[in-house]
Amino acid sequence: MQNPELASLLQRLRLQTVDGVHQAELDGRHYRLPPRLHEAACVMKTQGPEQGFATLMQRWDVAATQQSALRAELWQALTALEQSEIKHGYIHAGVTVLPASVVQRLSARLLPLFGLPAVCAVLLAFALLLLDLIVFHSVGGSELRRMDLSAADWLLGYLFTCAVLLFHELGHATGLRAVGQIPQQIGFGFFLVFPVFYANVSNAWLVARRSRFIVNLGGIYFQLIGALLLYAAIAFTDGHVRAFLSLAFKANLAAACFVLIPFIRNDGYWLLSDCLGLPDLYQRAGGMCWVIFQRLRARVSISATEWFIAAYAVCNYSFLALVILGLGRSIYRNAAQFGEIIHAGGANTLLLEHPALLVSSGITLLMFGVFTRPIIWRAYQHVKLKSRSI
Amino acid sequence: MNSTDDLKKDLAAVELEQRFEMINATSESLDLVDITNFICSPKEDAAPKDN
Repeated sequence: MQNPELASLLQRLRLQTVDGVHQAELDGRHYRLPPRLHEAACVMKTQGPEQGFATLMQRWDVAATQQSALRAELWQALTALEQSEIKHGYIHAGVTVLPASVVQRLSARLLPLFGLPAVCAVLLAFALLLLDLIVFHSVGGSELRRMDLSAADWLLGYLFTCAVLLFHELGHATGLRAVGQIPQQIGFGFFLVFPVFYANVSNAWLVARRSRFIVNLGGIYFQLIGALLLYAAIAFTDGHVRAFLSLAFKANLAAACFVLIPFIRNDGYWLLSDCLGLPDLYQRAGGMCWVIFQRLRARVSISATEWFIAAYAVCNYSFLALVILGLGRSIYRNAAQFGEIIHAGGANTLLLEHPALLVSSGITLLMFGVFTRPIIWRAYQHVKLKSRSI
Repeated sequence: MNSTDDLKKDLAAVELEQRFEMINATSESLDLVDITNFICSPKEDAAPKDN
């Protein structure tokens, strides 16, 4: 890379020290920098590549004979920030629902909701809502079960739910703005096989860990506001409108609980990751049980954090096992139903009269495949390796 | 005098993963917590009687 290109890269590079860790952002990608590289980037950014390099050589007390080799290393380390292969995110086939410019404008408008008086008011109102819900009302629970809901009611209920889920994402984006960073796009994509809405809040790496909690909890906080609005709307409506509002209300509260599960990169995962100060919790958890086993054998001491990560890994695997078990049971039930239908009316009946069952079975099988494929693949590799060594 | 080998070791950046705060967009997945009965199950005396 020539000097003008490096100078342009350095100008685009945002450098920050967060909780004692040096970090950098370049075109939406985030890095942890070792102290020397951070120092070099800071000096070269302010003084220009050549002048900055001369200053560094003096500061680091490097012999003249070694300077050219180190120059090449430094240039390579800095250009690698731009040229390294882009890490594919864990969300696939993502499409932008709200572009960054719209999210930034909306989050600026919603920012007052993160003021202390607003937060206190929302929490108090939600506590009263729960009290009212549990003690006095049923919020359409009985009506929903008795009512013959049409496809349009379900569709409207789902659309309202989607609106609330998008509001959840806006909560994260606004939370990021509340801690002084610019949010990026909100989109829709697939995590494993699950369709998800997501907010790109990667700039949260540039703020202190304590501030990241505001970003992590921003989504649930906005869902509480959504719950208050829906609850008020339910109180003033009746019939089918009330029914689909109730569907959205329940889905909203359930989703707010669901996102706290820390095993599938939900909000709960980022909360735990920030709590422990481990940005790569997921990767670490993968091999931690084996590391602990090796250390126990070698009688090496194990830190409390390592024990915790191992416990998290065990819970993670248990959660995975639970999901696989649930999917397996569902496949068994569907297969039994298939048998009954085919026995009673033939394969044509299954195709013509039970298309929904066929579709849901297909989805269940697909999900089962996605969850079990890595396990089967590892087992296959293990067996292959063993058979070769015999 | 600093050794360049030591300096070189201190120049490798680590990329952090992108932070996507996500939420499941299917109502089916919410069956995990049984949405039709979640929190809103009616009180026996509060539920209107069927005709």
